[in-house]
Amino acid sequence: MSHYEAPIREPLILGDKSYHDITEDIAKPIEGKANKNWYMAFYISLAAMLWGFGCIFYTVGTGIGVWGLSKNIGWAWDITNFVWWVGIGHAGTLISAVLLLFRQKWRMAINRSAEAMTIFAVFQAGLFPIIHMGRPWNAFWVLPIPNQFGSLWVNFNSPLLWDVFAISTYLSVSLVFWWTGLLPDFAMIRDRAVKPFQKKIYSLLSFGWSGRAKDWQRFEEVSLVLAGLATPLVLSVHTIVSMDFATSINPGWHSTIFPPYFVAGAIFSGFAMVQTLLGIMRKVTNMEEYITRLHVEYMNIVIILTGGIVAVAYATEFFIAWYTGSPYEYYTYLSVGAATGPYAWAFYSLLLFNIAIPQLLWFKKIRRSFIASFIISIAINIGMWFERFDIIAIVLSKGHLPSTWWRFEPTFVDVGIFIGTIGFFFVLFLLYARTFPVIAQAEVKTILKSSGEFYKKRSEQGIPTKPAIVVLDVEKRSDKSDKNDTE
Amino acid sequence: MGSSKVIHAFYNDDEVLLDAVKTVKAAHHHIEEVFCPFPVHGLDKAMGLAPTRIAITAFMYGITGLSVAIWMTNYMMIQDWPQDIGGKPSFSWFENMPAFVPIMFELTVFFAAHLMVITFYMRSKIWPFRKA
Repeated sequence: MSHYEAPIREPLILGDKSYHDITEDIAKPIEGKANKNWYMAFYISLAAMLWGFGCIFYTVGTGIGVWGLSKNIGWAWDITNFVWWVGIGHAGTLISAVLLLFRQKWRMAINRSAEAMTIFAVFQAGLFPIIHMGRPWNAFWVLPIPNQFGSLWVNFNSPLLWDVFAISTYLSVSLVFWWTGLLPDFAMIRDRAVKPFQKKIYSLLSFGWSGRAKDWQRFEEVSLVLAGLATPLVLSVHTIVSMDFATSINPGWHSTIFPPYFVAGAIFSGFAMVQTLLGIMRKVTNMEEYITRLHVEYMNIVIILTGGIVAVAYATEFFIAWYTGSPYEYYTYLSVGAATGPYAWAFYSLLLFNIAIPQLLWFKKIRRSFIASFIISIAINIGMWFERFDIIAIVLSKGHLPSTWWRFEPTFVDVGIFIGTIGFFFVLFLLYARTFPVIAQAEVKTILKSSGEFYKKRSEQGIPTKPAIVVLDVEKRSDKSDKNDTE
Repeated sequence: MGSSKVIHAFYNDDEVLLDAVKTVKAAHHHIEEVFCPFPVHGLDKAMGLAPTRIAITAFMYGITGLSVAIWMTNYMMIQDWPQDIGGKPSFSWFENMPAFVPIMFELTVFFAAHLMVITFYMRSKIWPFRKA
C-alpha cells in the first residue's frame, strides 16, 4: 500500500476495481467505436471551426478593419478572447502541478483531461494576437532573432513581448509535462493493441516506454520538478497577461491588484471549464466511477475560493473608482458610470454570472450535484468572458476626451472567429477523448489500494490489501518453459 | 559466482513484488531489471538503485537559462541598439533590470523544464521510433 488514508475519507475510485479493470475502463473508449453522440458533437464543432477559419481568412485577406475596432478601441473581442482562453488554460496546470505539490490524490482522475484542456485552450489564445497582427506571416518579428532591419531587436520593456515569452514557455512546458505523463499510458495501449496500425501509432507515441524501475524513478522525479517549475510559471503567465493592462496608464487598467486578481480569475474560469468538459466526458467515456461526486465537490470548493477572491477584487475596484473622486475613474469597468451607462447590461451580466450565481455552491446539495455544477460552470464561463470584455470595451469606450468616446459593436467576423475557436477547441478535445487515455492510469493505479472503494471496505474489515500467496508444488509442474510463475 | 541461471518472474500485485524484491536482495542475488506498469513506491530503494540526479541537472539548466536571459537583454537592449522607450533610456543593464525580470524568469523555467525532460529521455533512452 502506497500510503495510509483514513477510512472516513470518501473513496476516489468507486466499484470493485482491480488493476486490470482500470486498464480495461481506460482503454475502452480508444479501442471501441465512437457512438452517434460523438459524431454529432464532432460535426457541429467542425462546422463552427471551419466557419471561424473562414472568418480568419477574410480578416487576413481584407484587413482587421472588418472587425468592429476603431482608433479608440484598438482591441476588443480579440484580446477579450485571448485572455479568456489563456485563463481557461490555468486550471489544467493548477490541477497537475499545484495539486501534485500539495499531494492531492483526487487530481489523478482529472489531471490528464485538464492538461489537455490547457494545451488546447492556449492554442486558441495564441491565435488571437497572431491574427490581430494583420500580417500573420510576419509573426516571427516578435522573436529576438537577427532580422532584415539591421540589428533592430524586440523591445524587452514591453509587456506584450513578455506575453510572447510567457505564453510560449507555458504552452511548450505544459506540452512536455503532459506528454511525459502520457508515455506509460500510451505504452499500455500499445501493449494491448491488436491491430497493426494501432500498434504502430501507439509505439511511436509511447517513445518506446518499457517501465523499467530506473525509468519510473526518473519519471517521478521529473514530474515533481516539472510541477515545481510549472507552479510559479502558471502564476507568472496570467500576471504577465494582466500587465498588458496594468502597466498602461489608462484609468481602470492601471491597477496594482490586477496580477493576483487575474490569476484568481483564471483559476476560477479554468475550473469552471474543467467542470463543463468533465461533466460531459465522464458520461460519454463511462468514467463515472473515476470522476465522482467527490471530485466535482472538490473542484467546486476551489471555484468558491477563487470566485470569492475575484468578488473581493471587484468590490475593491468599484470602491477605489468611487473613492478617488477623479472624473477619469468615473467610467472604469467597475464604477457608477459603467453601471448606468450604455454597457450596463455587460456590467450586470458580470455581477450576475461571476458573483451571484457561484454563491449557490455554498450549499452542499448543489456542490455535489452534477447537473447544478454543470449549469453553474457554464454561467461562470460566460461571466469570466464578460469580465474581460468589460475591462477592455468599457474602459476604452470612454477616453480622456469626449472626442474619443465611442461604442464598440462587434461585427459578424468578430463573433465568427470567437465561435470558430470554441469549435476548434472542441474538435481537439473530442479527438483527444477518442484517441488518448483520458485518465492517467499509471497514477490512478497507485492510489487504488488506499483510496479505492473496494480496498477501503476490505481494510475496514481488517483484510490486508496484499493478496495471499499460494505456493505451488514445483515438482509436479511440467518444467518445459524456463519461466517460473510465482503467483 | 559460477552459476549463471536467469529467472524471469511475473507478479500481479505490487506489494507481493516488493516483498519478493526484498527477499531476493536479502539472499544477495542480482536483480537485472524490474518492469512495472505503474510506479511502485519504495521499489528503487528495495532494489538498491542509486538516487536520480535529474533534479540537479534541472537546477543547472535553470541557471543557464537565467544567464542566457541576462546576456540577451543586455546585448540587445543596452549594447547593440540602446533606445529611449517611454522615457526609460537604456543606460545600464541594472537600471533597466526590473523590466527584464519576466524574461529572466520565463527563460529560467524554459531551459530548466525542457533540458531536464530531454536529459530524462536521453538517459532513459526513450524517444520517437524507439522500439520498446
